[in-house]
Amino acid sequence: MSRLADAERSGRTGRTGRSGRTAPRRAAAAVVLRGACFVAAAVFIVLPLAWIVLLSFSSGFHFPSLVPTSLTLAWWRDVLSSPGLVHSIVLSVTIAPVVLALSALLCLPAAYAIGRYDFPGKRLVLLGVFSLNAFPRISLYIAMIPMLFFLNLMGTAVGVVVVQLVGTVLFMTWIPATGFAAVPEALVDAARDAGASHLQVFSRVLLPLARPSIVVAAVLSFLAAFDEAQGTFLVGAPHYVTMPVEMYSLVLDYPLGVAAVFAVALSVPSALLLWSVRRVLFGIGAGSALHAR
Amino acid sequence: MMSDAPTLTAPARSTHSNPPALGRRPGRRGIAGPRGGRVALLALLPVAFLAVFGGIPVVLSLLLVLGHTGGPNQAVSELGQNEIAGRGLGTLGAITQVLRDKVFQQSVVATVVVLLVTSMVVLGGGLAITVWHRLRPSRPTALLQFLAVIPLFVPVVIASFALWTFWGDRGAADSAAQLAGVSHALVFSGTLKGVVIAEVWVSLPFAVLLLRSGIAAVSDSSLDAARDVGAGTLRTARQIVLPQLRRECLVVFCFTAVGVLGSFTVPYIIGPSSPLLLGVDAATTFTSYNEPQQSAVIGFAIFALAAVVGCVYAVGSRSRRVAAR
Repeated sequence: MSRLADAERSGRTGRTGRSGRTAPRRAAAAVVLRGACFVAAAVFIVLPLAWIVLLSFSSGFHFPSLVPTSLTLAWWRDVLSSPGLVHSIVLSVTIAPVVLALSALLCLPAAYAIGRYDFPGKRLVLLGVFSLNAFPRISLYIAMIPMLFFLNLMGTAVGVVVVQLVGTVLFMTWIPATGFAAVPEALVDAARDAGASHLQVFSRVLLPLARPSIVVAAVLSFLAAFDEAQGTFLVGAPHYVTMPVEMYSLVLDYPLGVAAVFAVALSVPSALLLWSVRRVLFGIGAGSALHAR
Repeated sequence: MMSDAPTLTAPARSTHSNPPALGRRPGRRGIAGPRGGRVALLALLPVAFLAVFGGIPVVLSLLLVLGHTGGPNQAVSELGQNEIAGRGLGTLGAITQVLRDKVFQQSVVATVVVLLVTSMVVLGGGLAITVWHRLRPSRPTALLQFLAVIPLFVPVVIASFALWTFWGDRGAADSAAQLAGVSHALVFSGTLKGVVIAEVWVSLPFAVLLLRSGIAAVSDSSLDAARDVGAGTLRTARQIVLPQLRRECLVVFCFTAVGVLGSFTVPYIIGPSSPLLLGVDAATTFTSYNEPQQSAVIGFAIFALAAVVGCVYAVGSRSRRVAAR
């Protein structure tokens, strides 16, 4: 607030120094320019999302009108009465939790080790976890195909789980590891001095203090799996069509309203879950790597 | 690339005033005895997983590219079409076949153009939003920063669909243009411009978050000093803020570029049917033409372009270090 006041003040003093007429004109032009930039950016970012919400409740438009002819819930009923679409919803809400659970089993012990212990090759482990995420995602999935054929996992549920799991490892390892690492040594020592066993130190001190980071990692991992489209498309088709993969065909083969309903339904859980952890998320910027394009 | 982007310090509500970095815990050096060994095994679990489903597949895929269609690659080779097998050290047949392909050549050009334009627009837009708010903070600038992060909350497939309908033929933008009397001026779906719009849309949050954290480190006193000597907003931005944001700018540019290279959903939904972006070319070569070997070649072409971006990053950060000396 004080910086704002400073800026205002300095703006004013700056203007008084200039000639009386041009200064207000320049200031007005600056306000208009700023306003135009703001509106353009807001339109660019927000309106496409508002547009699909409107589409999901609209019976249709008389081009070029931007107002729907009438509002309807028919598209929502269509989606819920289509067995194929319901199947993909069920598939998505089944596979994502499985991926999350496996990711936790695989990565949380490692996160604990990385966060609390020093061992030879630790940097190499971190590098390994990070490096895979530095690869362009689609080429990584393409490269996985021969291996998945060899293991007979193409077109199987296990194959889909594997391909989604790959995208969660970084979140589930790195974020909780920083959480475990941030627990002050003094607290652990104090617990040990009071006679706590290793297990008690872990369950009463380390786990509660690292919990926020584990929750964030879980949310990001769940969404990474839930929203994963391209790898699942390559590996799971044609039997395992999750909600995001279904979007590919909805765009081409269904009425716009149905695709809009599906899109809104798919983005609500993502938006709510991410919003719930926004503070921590914005602090690390990790969510930016969440969605493979 | 990722390892440079966010910090390696505690993301969570830290109870530690100065959380230790992950790389080193001096107090725990002595533990690398039998217990340390066991603990290291725990850390190996995700690495082993990534090796089996990430590292080894990349090697297998490379062998397939070079015509080694036997062994573990036999399963994919038997099902795929147009396989070019080689003996001994292998063959470059599949590579030359793809390199000579017109569709591939067009894809490379389209991808590089989209990558460069997207990265520059994202960097420029991110800088405009964050620097503006730092130098002239107000409610609109704060709101703009908030809006720029919204795409983070939207799955990319949804974003692609939303942008496809919004910028499409008879979409919202087209309707608005028609009402304003300029028909068909704002139809971008099915064009490379549409791909750039969508790639910018999905890349903006990362740019804003990273630049925002970098810009927070620019001291108030340096900005006040610039103001005291009469420097305007633009001049302060150019001469005080931007020189301190070089590292962040480099990361944003390179991260966006690699994101575009690895993207499939955005160009698949919004992009034209010709030229394709490399990600779409690689995927459809497998799914539509059933040519896993050629698809793998295109995959490695994407790797190669990403390596070029990596070199740009390395050279950029090195020259900065030299300049700092």
